[in-house]
Formats: sequence, structure tokens, C-alpha cells
Amino acid sequence: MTAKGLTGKRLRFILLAVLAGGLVLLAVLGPYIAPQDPLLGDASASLQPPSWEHLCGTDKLGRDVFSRILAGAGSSFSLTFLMVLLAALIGTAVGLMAGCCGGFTDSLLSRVTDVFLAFPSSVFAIAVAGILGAGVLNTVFALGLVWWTRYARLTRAAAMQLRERDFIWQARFGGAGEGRILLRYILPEVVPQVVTTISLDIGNMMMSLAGLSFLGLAAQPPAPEWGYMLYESRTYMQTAPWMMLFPGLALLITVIVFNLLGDSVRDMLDPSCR
Amino acid sequence: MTRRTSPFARFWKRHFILSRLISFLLVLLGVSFLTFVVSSLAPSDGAEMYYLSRGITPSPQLLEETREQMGLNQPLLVQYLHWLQNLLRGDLGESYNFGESVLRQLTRKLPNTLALAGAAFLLTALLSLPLGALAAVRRGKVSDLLIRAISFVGVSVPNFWLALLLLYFLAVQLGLFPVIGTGVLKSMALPVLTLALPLSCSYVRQIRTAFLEEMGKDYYIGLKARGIPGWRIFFSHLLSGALSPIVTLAGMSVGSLLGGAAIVETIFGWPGLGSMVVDAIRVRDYPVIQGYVLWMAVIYLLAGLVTDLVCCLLDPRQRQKGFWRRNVRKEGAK
Repeated sequence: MTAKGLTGKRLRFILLAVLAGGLVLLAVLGPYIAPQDPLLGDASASLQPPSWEHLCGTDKLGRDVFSRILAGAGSSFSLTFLMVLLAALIGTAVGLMAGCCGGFTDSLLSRVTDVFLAFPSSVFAIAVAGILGAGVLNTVFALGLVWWTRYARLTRAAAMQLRERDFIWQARFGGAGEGRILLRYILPEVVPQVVTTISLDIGNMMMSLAGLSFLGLAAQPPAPEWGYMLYESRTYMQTAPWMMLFPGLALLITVIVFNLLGDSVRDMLDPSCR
Repeated sequence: MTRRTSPFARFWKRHFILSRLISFLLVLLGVSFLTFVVSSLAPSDGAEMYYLSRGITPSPQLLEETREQMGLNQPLLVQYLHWLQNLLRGDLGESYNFGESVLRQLTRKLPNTLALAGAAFLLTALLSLPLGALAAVRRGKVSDLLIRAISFVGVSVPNFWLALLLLYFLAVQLGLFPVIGTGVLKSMALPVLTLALPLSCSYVRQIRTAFLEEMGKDYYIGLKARGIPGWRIFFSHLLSGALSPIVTLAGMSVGSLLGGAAIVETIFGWPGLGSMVVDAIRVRDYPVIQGYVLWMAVIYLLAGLVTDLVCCLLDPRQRQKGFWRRNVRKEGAK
């Protein structure tokens, strides 16, 4: 790759990062810049089509859909980030342990990972969230429980390859303990891959979360949440299609931006793509 | 630090299919345990739900008796062994809600889900194979860019939103399909489309990569240099080379089809396993949820096993390489 190709990649990354940052900013500021109260209904303005007053129309209770989308962004984003980070943290810890310790620890942890991998992820998340009952924390738990495995696999494979490399042996001969090797030498090498996977996962996680709340398993009704808004819109599909159009569009745009960002992070960080 | 190969490891390496079967059984055991543990995390216990689902508010005394009767007072491990024993006899317990045996309920709904998933799988294959191959062969051309752009957007569409859009545009606006209903082929069209479209999009991308990888190999350049026409290289060389990643992909799709089915079936009112479990969740029918998760895992695991074996048959190199665990270990050890 020439220098030109590199700047192109970097430029793409910066543009997408700005775009994603803008979305995050919108989500953070959402409740404050929403033109109307997302929770306050107005029975006289029930099911109104999009207009200048209500950019995305209103729902059955006369609540402004645009304001609800803005207000719902915050919880969607923060939950998604929380879950992805949780999964990455658990997975990386397990993977590094397995990869570095080897032997019995490795077999045990690998088996456990295999067992979790044996469940189709969305099936397992639905079941866990269903058994624990609806609620935000339960959803975080359910999705975190499902998603950590890929990080474990990734870091384990990387750690196994790394720990026989020359620079690790050198550190070992230099008197570094296993713990130090793990944290100071292996962990930094693994971080780029983990970051790449995190950025690729955000979009998927957001969709899974919306899927769960669509089934009524995540957010509790009055709170604005994209998935649940779509669920509510189902009943009014014939009379008020804007109710399903705009929250879905918001979700789609967010997922696309984060997926593009993930791709570009991979292009930047993954040595195999360089 | 270097790992020495034990006799056990050598055996493991040589008997590919046998080792695969053993690990399958081990994982199955773990799966059953995890399923059991997860359902014991439930905030309200079985005895309580048993009565509540029948509209009875039980007295503490009655609750205690039922708990005793259901064995809920015993330690978790004992409960698990008891449950496992029943499981091996094919007894998954009774649904709190209908009093029907869970196994019977599952077998009754399974064909519907299989029909849906099978049709979606077929459609996915029909769509993604030619498109993925086309994109790879015409790399960098307009058709490739177009296919990639569409599939990228397609990957990012949540399936439940796609279901609503399809319902709105095809059923409500154009009146091509019934909004809800079962049995007829026509009512299957929308759920199948909903399942197949996002899946096809992700497969187009991966099939394209598989073909491109194959096209980067020396033999392809050699064949090209000898002036063999492109279509012949494609059908007699590239296709067989790219087949095993594609088969692996197909095996993994079982999971996303089954998982996606839960949401899609609920939206379209398709009487399969997915809508069954969503209903069961609403009324907290734990044995049904438990049975469902277990079945899904077994189906998914079986699909993985079959995929591995098929890959092994298709590609003799695979037999030496093994699956990821041993593969890595071999590279890791000096």
C-alpha cells in the first residue's frame, strides 16, 4: 500500500468516527433537544401523520415519534456499549487465561466456551431474558452471557500463538513472571484484535437488543425504546405506517454507521488486511 | 513450556470422527447442565408458577408441599441429576400452562419451524451463491460494487423491521400476500423472505470472499495462463475449492435461522417453535422454555457435527488440519 492508500483509509476512519460521534452526541443530548416531551401524550393529536410540528408523526397516545426516537437513542446506545464492553472483558479474560495457562485450565475453559457456543446466540439470549423476566439489567446479563465466547476464542488463539514467540521467551529469560508476561506483553498484542471485534459487534448488538425489546423483553413500556416502539407500531400499521418507518430507519442508520466504522477499524488495525 | 504430546492427544489427533463424537457428547452434557442452571435462575420458582398459571394463589403451606413434591428443596446438583435421568428417558416435564408433555408440544411444532427454516435456507442458497460468485468474478466492476452495497445495507437491516416493511408494502399496500394465516404456501412467503434476505446478504459477502481467496491461489493463475476459459475454471476448479467454507457457512446458518425464527414467527403468527417459546415466556412456562433451548442446542450441535463431517469428506486436507482447537495447538507448540 502506498502512502496515498493509507491516508484514504485514515480519512475514511476519521469521517466515520465523526459521524458515529455525532450519533452518540445526539443520543446523549437526545432528551434535552427533543422538541416535545417523549412521555407526554396528547389525546387530541393521536396518530397524526408527519408534519412540521411532528416531524415523524405521533403515536396512538399522541406522543411525538421524533422526540421518542431521540430520547430512546440514549438507552439503546449506552446499553449496547455496556454489553459489548462486558462481553469483551469477560471473553478476553477467559481467553487469555486459557491461552496462557494451557493444560487443564485451558481444557476446562475451552469446554465451557464450547458449551456456550453450542447455543444459537439469539435463542439463548431470548431464553435467558425470558426466564429472568423483562428488565434492562436482565437483558444486559443475557446478551453479555451470549457474546463473550467469540472474544474468548479470539484471544485464546492469539495468546497461544504469541506465547511461543521469541520476544516472549526473551522476556521469560529476562525473569518476567507469567503474570507480567500476560499483562505487559501478550495483552497489548491482543488489544487491536479485540478492539476490531468490539467495533464490528456494536451494530449487531444493537440489533439484538432491539430484537429483544421488540419481543417485550428489555425495556418497560412507557420508556421510549426503539425495539418496543416498533412492536407498538405493529397494530397501527395500516393507519399509521410512520410509527414503524422512522424508529426502524433510525436503527438502520445507526447500525450502518457503526458497521462501516467497524469495517474501517478492521482495515486500520488488523495486520492481515494491511 | 513446550507441550509434549500425550498418548491421549495423539489418539485425539488421529481419530478425527471419533474425537468429534466424544466432544459432541461432552458438550451435550454441558449444554444440558447450563440449560438447567439458567432455568433455576428464575426469580419465581416452579411450584409458584405452577399454581399461578392455573389462576390459583397458593398458600405458603401448599407451596411448601408442592416444592417438596417437585423436589425443589433438594440441592441443585441432585435436582439436575434427577432432571437428566428423566431427560434420558425422553421426559422433559409438563408444560405448566397446558398440562401437555413438553416433548409432545415440541415435536408438534417442530415441523412448522423446519419447513420455514428449510425454505428460507433454500432461498438463501439460491440467492447468495450466484450473486456471491458473480461479485467475486467481476471484482471491482459495477455489478460487484452494486451487489456489495446492497448486501451491506441488507446486513444492517434488523429482521423484525424488515418483516414489518414487507408486511406493509407487500401485504397491506399491494395486497399480494395475506397479512396473517397458515397452511398455504402463500402465507409462508413473507416469513421466508424475512428470514432469507438478511441471511443472503451476509452470505453474499462471505461467499465472495471465499471465491476471491480461491482465485488468489497459484493454481488459478496457472490455469488462467494456460488459456482455459473462465467458466471452465469456475465450475471444475474454483467451485470445489470454495465448497468447504460454503458448507461451513451453511452449517452455521442453522443457528441464525432458528434464532431468527423466534421473532419472525411471532410477527407472522406462524405456529412454530419460535412463537411457542415467546408465548411460553409471556406466561413463564419454564419447562417449555427449557425444552426449547435444549432442542435448539441439540439441533445446532448436530448441524455443526454434520458440517464438520461433510467438510472432512469434501476436503481431505481438512482431516489433517482438524478443527480450531487442535489447529492452534499445533502451531503454538514448537
